[in-house]
Amino acid sequence: MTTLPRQRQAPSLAKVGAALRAAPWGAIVASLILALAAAAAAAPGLLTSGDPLFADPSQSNLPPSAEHLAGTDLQGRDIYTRIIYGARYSLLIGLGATVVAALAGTLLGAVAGLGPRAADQAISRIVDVICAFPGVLLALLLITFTGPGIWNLIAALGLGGLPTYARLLRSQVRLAATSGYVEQAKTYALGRWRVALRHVLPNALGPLPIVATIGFGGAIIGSSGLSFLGLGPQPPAAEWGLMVSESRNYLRNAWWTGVFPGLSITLVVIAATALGRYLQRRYERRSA
Amino acid sequence: MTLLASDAPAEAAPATTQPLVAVRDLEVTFPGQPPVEAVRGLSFDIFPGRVTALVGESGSGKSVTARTLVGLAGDHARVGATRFQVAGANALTLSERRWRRLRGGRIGFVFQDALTSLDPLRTVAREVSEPLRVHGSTPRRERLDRVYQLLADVGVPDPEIRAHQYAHQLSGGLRQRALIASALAANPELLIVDEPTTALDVTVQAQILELLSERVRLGTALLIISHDLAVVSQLADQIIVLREGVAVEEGPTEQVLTRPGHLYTKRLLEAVPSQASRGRRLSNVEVDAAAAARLAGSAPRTAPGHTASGGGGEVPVLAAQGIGKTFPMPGGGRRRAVVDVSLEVFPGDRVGVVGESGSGKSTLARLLLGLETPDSGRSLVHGQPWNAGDKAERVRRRHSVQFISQDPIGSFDPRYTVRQVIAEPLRGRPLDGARGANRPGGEAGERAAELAALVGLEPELLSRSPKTLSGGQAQRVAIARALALRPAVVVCDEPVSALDVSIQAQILDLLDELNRATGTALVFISHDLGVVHHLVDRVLVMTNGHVVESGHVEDVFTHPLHPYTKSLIAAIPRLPGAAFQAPDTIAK
Repeated sequence: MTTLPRQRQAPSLAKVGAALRAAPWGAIVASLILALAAAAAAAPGLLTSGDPLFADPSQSNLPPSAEHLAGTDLQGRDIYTRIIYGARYSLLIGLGATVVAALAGTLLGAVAGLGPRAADQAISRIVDVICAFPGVLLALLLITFTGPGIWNLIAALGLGGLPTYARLLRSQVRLAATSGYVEQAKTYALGRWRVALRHVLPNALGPLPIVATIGFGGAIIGSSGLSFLGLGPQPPAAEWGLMVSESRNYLRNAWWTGVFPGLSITLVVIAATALGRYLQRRYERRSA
Repeated sequence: MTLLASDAPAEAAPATTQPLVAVRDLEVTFPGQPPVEAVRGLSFDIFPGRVTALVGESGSGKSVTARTLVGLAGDHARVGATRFQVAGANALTLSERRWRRLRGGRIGFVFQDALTSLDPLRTVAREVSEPLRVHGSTPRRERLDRVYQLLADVGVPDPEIRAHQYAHQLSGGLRQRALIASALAANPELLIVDEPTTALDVTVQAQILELLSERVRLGTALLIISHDLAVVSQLADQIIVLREGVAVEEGPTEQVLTRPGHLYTKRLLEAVPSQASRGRRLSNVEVDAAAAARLAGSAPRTAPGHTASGGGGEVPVLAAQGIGKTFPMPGGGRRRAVVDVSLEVFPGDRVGVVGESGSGKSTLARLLLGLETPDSGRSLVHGQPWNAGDKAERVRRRHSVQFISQDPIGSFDPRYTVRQVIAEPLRGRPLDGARGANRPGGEAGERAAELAALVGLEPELLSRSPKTLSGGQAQRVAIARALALRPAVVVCDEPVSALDVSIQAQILDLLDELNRATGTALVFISHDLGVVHHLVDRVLVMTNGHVVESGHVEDVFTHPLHPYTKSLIAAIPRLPGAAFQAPDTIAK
């Protein structure tokens, strides 16, 4: 009797504190960073009024100040503005490569898992061959033939990322295809395609968003690395990896020219990984 | 057995008056919102050379009690008692170090799951010799001989070979023996066994029970934890019946089993299926027969309530003709899982298939269901092979043979709700002679709700995820789904083996009532002879892929002809007869 009114009271401070402590802060911060990067990519004009290509040689290699938040580079371009505009390249290439890898990998993995044995053998061996090359080496090789550029970079990185998804999907599809619910579906005469579309694929795709989120971070590192080597967008484009590359000769005198673009890459990649891990933990808890 | 205890070695004699374990008002609580009171106010004594049994269903607190007795209730558990003496020490104040000296030394403990209790990376000899090493009772050089001796004592054949094998190379029975040998290694005064025979075949179970009673004759005190009253009745001197952490009844075995004082004990005893319970209901399940016939009545040409076994000239709904299946074994060789099995299931029949693990009964189920293609012979539905005719015909054939598996939750798509699970077979098909296919979520969803009500599921469960269901609820969902397509026959593979006895009773009653009301035949596959004897009319006994005996269940079980059947029947643990000879005297 006496406990009833007490239950209606507003949650106590201790409870609010506990809820705050229990909140997934890492995931929240990671999401904010990614949201900021996405905003920069979608509408850079909202975050800066400058022009990433506007060069003022008289303002060369100025340290961070109120006027130039992250300083200026050798040509006197505002680094903050270039970083904001650079988000578009990194996100586009990262996202593009992830989508290419996930789509092609999922398709190949699903065919390998569900299709005839010969298809499985063929796909699995091709994936093994792709896997045998280090990702960067494979991309280098491809770009040697196709030439540098954003779309070629996306294709090269996508191909390098493909085996992860193909193998994941193949094993997930196999798992679902031998499950009790698929067996049961056969007993009420559900056709092969119906079973695949209704039961096997939806259950096999469960971990895909997690792997893709973590893979997205990896793709950004890859894109920055290849741009650093001069295989991505060409100067004077404001690309983070390219900016790091251009800064390397002046780091001793103008650390800000390399540190801020490098920090941007690091933050976005860590955010993507942290968010992916958080999703992974939630998924594992849910399926346990 | 008390007399035998006094024959034990001289030092045990004074101990007979002194209990090894004395517990008064034991409380075990696990923190949480709200806290879980696993054990409440439990009191009992364990004497040397005596067998105490803790009996109860899942969640009754019996395993928690056993673990508390060896100080393994868990880090978060709060243990309280007015008296808690274990082997002469006050267990409430024991340090972890002192506990370790008791465990494996003066108290042997055998956990429930024999597979995971053995380290897969260590040989049996290392596992069994561990207590010898830790408690320093045997010099190193003599340890291996002692291990051989211990394994031989618990009936492991070829101990010199088996001792050097790993857990996965042993059968379930041998693993359980190895665990018991390990628990007995340091010659404990008290042996605690948690569900020692639950995963074992009935003949192996009989051997393990014999082994345990042998130890008791030698003066060891035994605490046995089990859900199975029949198993317990073979051994126990004293039974404590637990329910939700409270002892509802305790007393000498004979008294508890034949003159139970508490309603719950009576219900438990009533719920045990056996020969004596044939034709009697085990629980208070009610089935709306009219609704059952309307929702799930099998094909119209079957007269409802038809129970003929082998009616003249009738076409069996399901048949196997000399069916056989061989599987290649890893590393070469072939295993003949099913060899030349024939059977016929007529409308409304109840056919049982019994056998121990590896006898081929599950493969037979898959062959009957058309999920596996036989190497030899044929399986027929309404006289036609599975692959005959056009697509519409093959679909109709599939619909008339449905399946209930041992693991219902695994047979539900994890993304579905209960309603979707039950409705799935009906999705996109015309219902009740209607013309077009039903709209998803419409008629099929309503039909699913009706089927759920038929099998006694509360309506609020329909929108839940099947993962949140209890074992009994999940099996009801599986039954509702199996009946949705109005099958002529349902093949059930061990449908009740994972359930508590009272839940098992409800599911068996449900299958029984539905079979009568709908005329749907049952093929019931089980290792549990009591369940089979209770439910089915005709039975096939399988071993090593062969059917060694078949016929009417009463004939086969009361006058077995084949030696294997005889050994199976002899191994069934039986309750003292009085509990069943006058079932009417037990008040509902």
